[in-house]
Amino acid sequence: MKSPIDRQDITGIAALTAPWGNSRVVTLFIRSLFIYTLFKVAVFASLVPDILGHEGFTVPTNPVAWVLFLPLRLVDVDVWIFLASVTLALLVSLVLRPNYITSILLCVLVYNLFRFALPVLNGSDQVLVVMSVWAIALPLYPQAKGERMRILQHTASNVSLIVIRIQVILIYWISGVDKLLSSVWRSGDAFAYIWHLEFKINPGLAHFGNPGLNWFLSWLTIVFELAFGITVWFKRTRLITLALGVLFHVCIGLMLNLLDFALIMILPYLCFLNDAEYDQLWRPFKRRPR
Amino acid sequence: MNGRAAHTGFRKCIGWLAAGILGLHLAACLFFAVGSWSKQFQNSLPGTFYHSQVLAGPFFREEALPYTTHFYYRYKAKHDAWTAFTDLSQSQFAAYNQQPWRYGRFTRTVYLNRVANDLDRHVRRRINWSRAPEPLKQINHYIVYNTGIADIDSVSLIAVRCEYDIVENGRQRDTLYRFTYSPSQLEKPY
Repeated sequence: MKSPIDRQDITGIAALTAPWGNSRVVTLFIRSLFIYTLFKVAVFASLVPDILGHEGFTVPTNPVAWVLFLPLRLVDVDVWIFLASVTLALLVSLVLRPNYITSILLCVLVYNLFRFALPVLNGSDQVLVVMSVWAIALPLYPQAKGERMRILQHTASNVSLIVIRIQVILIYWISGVDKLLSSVWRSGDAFAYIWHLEFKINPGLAHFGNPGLNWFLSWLTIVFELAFGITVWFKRTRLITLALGVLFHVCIGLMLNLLDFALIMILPYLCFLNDAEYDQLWRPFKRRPR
Repeated sequence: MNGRAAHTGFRKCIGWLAAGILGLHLAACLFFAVGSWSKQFQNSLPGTFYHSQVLAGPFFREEALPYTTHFYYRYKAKHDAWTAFTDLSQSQFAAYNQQPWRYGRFTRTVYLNRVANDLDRHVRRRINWSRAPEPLKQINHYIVYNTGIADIDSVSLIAVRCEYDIVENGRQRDTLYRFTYSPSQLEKPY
């Protein structure tokens, strides 16, 4: 099954305005962001004493910030009321079909949550904030009325999708170039250090590795991060690139206990697929009729 | 003229607009990621936006890889003796490894390590604080909350940075700071 863009019925620059046959994948991606944010709420809930030990957050006084951080004022009433309200809003949005209102709500809740949990944030939270912003224009529901409005709706969704793809590629390129310029990474010593990172490395893997393996893994990381942004655009290499990416992040997640980072890097991979490719992924796991 | 043909011009116009926006965004990403040569542009509103909201990473930088900070504390309740030193990060990490599904414990390990390093930066900057620095308050809050003792008389802190030496295949230890404070004095000038 080919997506409309592959059928060449709308070609050239106008293809940016056409449906890309990815409405299910888009829905799945937005829902996965809601589930991931719920996971982060659970993590932050377990860290409430630490977060409250912080001096306290300041909310900017400009009118936009005042409205944006309105939910955060619940913390002054009770921190658990704030977290329960965020959880409830996320759960309700998760049940509903993703639309512009739930996408905006996700972005607002993510900003409020991260302002609240500022002391304990890490790189994965930064990625989620960015994704939640770009996901605002992603939904294709409610369907716009009139042909021109539908064209605008599809264009906005497609642009968001491409921006998310660029975002993922940029994360890899920035990290890849940084590693390429680092003698510690080029020599493989980076992995020698990683095996000895006391409070991050999985105890089962501590002191693992040898110079040859370290060199190989270092270069594998650099090559993957730099090549991802190229190979993912080609239909022939896309699925294998994404599969390698999933393996890459699962390995990092298990090795360095970075479960949240692994998840938030894998979820946007959905944006590189259309519905047909997504179905193709699951085909080997589906039972064939006898 | 059918419906599709009627909208061909509109599609092309919107398509070019979208391509222009994407091109500008990509150019801005590359410019702000690479163009550290111009501080004027980096500090501008778009520069701040791109650096804080768009350009995530780089992750796993070489500067941070060789080091781990061990952070020890002990305390003395009023009319009581000093407790033994507890390795804060080690105890949290061990607790996480016993129950890996409680992911917050791992996040707490990373957080406490960061706070200990932040405190080191304050210690290096100036010894006589006019006001207790924020990381010290955070550590104090953690200790008071976790011990459950309200009337702690004194707390003693030691931070040791361990650098892994590849050649020696061992760790070199360096004490970052060591001091004792009274929790009741935290809000008052030192």
